Amino acid sequence: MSRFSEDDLKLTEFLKRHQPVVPAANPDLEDQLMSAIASTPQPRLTVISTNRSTARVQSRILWAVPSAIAAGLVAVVVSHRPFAPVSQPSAAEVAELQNFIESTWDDSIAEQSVSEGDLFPVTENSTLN
Amino acid sequence: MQGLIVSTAFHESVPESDDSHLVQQSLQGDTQSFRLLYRRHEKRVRTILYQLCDVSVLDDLVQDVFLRAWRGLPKFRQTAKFSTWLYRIAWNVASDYRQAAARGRTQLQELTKQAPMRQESPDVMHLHYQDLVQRGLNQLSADHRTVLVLHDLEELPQKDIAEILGIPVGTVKSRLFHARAAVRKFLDHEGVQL
Repeated sequence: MSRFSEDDLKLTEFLKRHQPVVPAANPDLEDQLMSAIASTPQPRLTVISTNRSTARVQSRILWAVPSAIAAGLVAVVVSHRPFAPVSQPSAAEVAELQNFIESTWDDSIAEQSVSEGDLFPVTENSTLN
Repeated sequence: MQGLIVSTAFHESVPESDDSHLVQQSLQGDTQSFRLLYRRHEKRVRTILYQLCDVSVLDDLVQDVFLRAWRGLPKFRQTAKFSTWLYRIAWNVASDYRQAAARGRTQLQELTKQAPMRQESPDVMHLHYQDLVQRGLNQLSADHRTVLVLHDLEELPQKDIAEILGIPVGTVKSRLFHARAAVRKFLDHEGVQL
């Protein structure tokens, strides 16, 4: 046993031995209490069973409310994208986009031809026999 | 009347675990069963209240605890220990009283009212030590004093204390450690060699 535990034991024993004496109750206290209880509505055991079933239903309802709120929030977030109205480009924007794609496409083809020609110049001698 | 006395003696001799039987009887309106519950637990409830409240209102508070218990019995979960549930009510009653008292009284008046009780004992040293223990407990905070009284004087398990006070077991250990240290320091300062 550690010294700390021994110290605790000594302290606890001292406190128990010299603990303040709790003053005795009024001799009439018990009867007064029972009189007060007699005038207080008695608890009913049957109420418990009813309360338990009611408590279960209430508990389910209490759980259903936050669950429904959470599910609703998730549904709103998830459905936000698919159901969001798709913005249609105007005719001018479509034309501009088409021009851009065509010009980009032409430029890339042209660049590719030039670069390939630089690397592999086509000559008559270069053909494989 | 004799029947009641015999019945009371029988019920008071049964183990504490049989509280549940008395609780069941009380729930069916049997006030005599509740009387037996009162007799079993009154002393401990009284001790808890005594350490936390004024002596002058002790009887009233004890009565308040058992009245609350009587009214609250239908809400009592049968799986729990009746004693733990009852001591929690005592703790709540004490806390309510302390809050009300703190609002309506000065600290000086409170100290005057909580002057140590004189015991009819010829042992002067014992009286002196009793006074020291009382003062040592009084200088603790209510939280620390409660844990020390419940654990070291009333010998309740730490788990039960945690349940009564609604705090983790670790907090009970911590409060107990600090409370013991403070009381030990106080006694040491007063010249008591343990």
